[in-house]
Amino acid sequence: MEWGFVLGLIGAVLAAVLAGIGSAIGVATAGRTATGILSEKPERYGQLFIMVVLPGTQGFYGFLAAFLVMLNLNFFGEGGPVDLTVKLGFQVFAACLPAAFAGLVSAIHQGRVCAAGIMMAAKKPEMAFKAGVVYAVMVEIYAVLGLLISIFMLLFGINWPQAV
Amino acid sequence: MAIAQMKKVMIATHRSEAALLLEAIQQEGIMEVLDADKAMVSKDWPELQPQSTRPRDLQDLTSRLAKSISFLQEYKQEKKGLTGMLSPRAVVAEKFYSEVVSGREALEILEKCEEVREKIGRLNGRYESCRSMVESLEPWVGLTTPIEEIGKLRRTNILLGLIPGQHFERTAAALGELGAALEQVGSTGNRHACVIVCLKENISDVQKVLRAADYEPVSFESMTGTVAEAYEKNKAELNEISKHLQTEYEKAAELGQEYLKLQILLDHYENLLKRQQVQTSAPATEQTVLLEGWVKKADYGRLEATASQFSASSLMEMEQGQDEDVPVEITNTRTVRPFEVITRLYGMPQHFEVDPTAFLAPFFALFFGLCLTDAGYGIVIIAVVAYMLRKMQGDKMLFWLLGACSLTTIAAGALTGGWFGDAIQQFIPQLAPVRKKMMWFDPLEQPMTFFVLALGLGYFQIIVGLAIAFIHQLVRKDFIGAVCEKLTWLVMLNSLMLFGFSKVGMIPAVISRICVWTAAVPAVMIVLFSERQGSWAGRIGMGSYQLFSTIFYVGDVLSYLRLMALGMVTAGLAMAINVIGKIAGGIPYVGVILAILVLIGGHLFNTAISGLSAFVHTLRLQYVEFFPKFLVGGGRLFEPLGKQYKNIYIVKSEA
Repeated sequence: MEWGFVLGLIGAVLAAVLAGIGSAIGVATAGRTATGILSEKPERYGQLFIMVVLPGTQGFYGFLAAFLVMLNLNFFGEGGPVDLTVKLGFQVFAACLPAAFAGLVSAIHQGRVCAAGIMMAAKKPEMAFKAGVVYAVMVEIYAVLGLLISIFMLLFGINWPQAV
Repeated sequence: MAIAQMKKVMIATHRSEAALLLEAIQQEGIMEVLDADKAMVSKDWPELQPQSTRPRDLQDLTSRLAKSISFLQEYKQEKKGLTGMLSPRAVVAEKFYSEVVSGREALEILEKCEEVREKIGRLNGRYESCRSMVESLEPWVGLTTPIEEIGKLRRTNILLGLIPGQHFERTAAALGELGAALEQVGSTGNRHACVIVCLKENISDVQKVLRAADYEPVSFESMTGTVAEAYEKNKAELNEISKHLQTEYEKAAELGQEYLKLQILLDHYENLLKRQQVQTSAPATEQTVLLEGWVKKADYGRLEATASQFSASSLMEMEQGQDEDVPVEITNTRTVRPFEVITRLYGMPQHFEVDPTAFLAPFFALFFGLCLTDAGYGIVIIAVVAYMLRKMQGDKMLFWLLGACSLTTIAAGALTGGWFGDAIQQFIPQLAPVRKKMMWFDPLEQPMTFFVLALGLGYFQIIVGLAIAFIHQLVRKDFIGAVCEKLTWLVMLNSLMLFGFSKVGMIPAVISRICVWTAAVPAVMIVLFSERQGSWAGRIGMGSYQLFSTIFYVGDVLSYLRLMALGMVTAGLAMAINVIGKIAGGIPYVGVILAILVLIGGHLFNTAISGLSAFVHTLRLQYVEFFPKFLVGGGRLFEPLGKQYKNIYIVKSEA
């Protein structure tokens, strides 16, 4: 195995781990706020649910980027993983970073927006979708853009070696 | 397809007839009645004051009904599951409704219900106090001396109390040293019930020892006989109370069957209350009530017919006051109506603006489809929508909207070859030729096509927005404003566009030379005339800023790239789900089942999150990029006095 393969894997790991951490923090922030509200207004469960799970998507984006790397390295195909040169490894590594960092930061901030939205929904349930959900989804678009760049780079920017 | 024209009206009615008239108006649900604070007539004649009485009796009655209903909720047979959640209101036949409302039976049920509720509350209180008595007596049952004989003796004091187990040994030893006697008669949890006898002169030392041991004194004041007797008596009472409670619970369960009647009554009285509130807050004289308000021009005839049934009431049209806050309602054709959901969510336009619903409808449906670009997901959404439309009560507009959007999703999916991601290529290659035939381009192979498509649609929508504003200003006869503020932009932006195209060689270079001029002239006009008041320095300053804001249009157009981003990410996630499903399928024995579970669960999940993103981002494109080109918003929604039913759903015949 060459170091390039290791670098590629580190990139995939960063995408999955950082975006996952972001989502975990985001969902936790929103979830804690929601449980507080629910202790007084249990009937709001359904309405708050969506805002609690929203920051969870970034984790999936990171997962998708990591998954694409593994797929192209032929983890799941016949013959097992293929090797990467150091140069290719750096390319894969770089390609993973947008999904990793955009996911990490946007999920944490989305969690905060969701928490604020949840608190607002406690007093003004009619605004829960209008402001709470809509604002939160606006934060997410930057994770989507980061993931898209990662996808483009992984699919079109890298000359993946063929499995033997 | 527009903002409904409103008419200002006034109905003057004799006080004796006001209630009946208001009921007729409420039944029609077409007139918004203003209270004395908002009515123009009380501005002109401040002496017209509303009746000072408030319908307090009715308020009491409705709150009593609401309380009893929430009490009975625990005892009634509930509609279970999803169907119950989707149709929370009970279906009631009109005949049954009027029977319940006119009869006294429902009120009797209310009284019975309150009686039972109060009894249960009282019994529960007694049960609690009895139970705590039994609990505190329990450790003392072993004390056979009658209570009244325990107390001060000539030479000694007798103390009763609880000593925690962990201090017991130590305390017993310390008390023994002081010459006091300690006897344990029982225990509760970790604490021992003890009788302590000591000499009077030692009492303060004994108490010091006891305090150190967290001793808790117990007294049986006002009790006679042995503890065991009292204990038994209380236990018997506890049983008695439970039996009483049981009968009351049964009564409540019986009343629970009449739950519906109380709901009917509550809805009925809430409508009555609303009516009375309108009546008491309207400006009035000693003999008349003046109902000033708004009605849609189209409904004026109906209101006239309603008012003419009352001999002591007269309807007349009124002049609209200056700067008066005209309520806004939008009316659209059946096809466009579901898209009113989007407009209403944003808030009403001002009464002199355009109703954006018809303009946003095609864009919204198209953009939603592009954000998903998956025919499979479109089919899933259609299935969900069809189910909801059949099962749900009340306002279904949102689901009609989603239905329209899912059609475009299927179209967009078919054109880009997305059927549950790449499921066709992965699992059913036999269908690949069919997919190919319907396909326009594959986003993963030609992302630039999608890129240009998103930007092109964005540019088109923004130009449409400007054009709407231009035409609307022409219609309102603001010709100078239309030309200086809108036409200039339309010409300049399109010229810049063409200029760019000819520079990159897509169209002949001659055009670029023309476009320089067609862009420069409106640019100068924007600087000079977009602000047409104040000093020239201010005007040119503002104009220059306006010209500078051209770059915001670039931002606006780029914002439409989210269509491509969301569309491709949906496809990416779907692809990952398919690959995982395929891997799961390779597991021996359980593989097929696992694969099916992964595929169904994964694709449903992806439909949900991608659908939410698609909806919200499409919404944003309308609100942030499209609306500001021609709309300010902030109009007050027209809220006619009407009948509302929160708990029941009235149908004409027996359901």
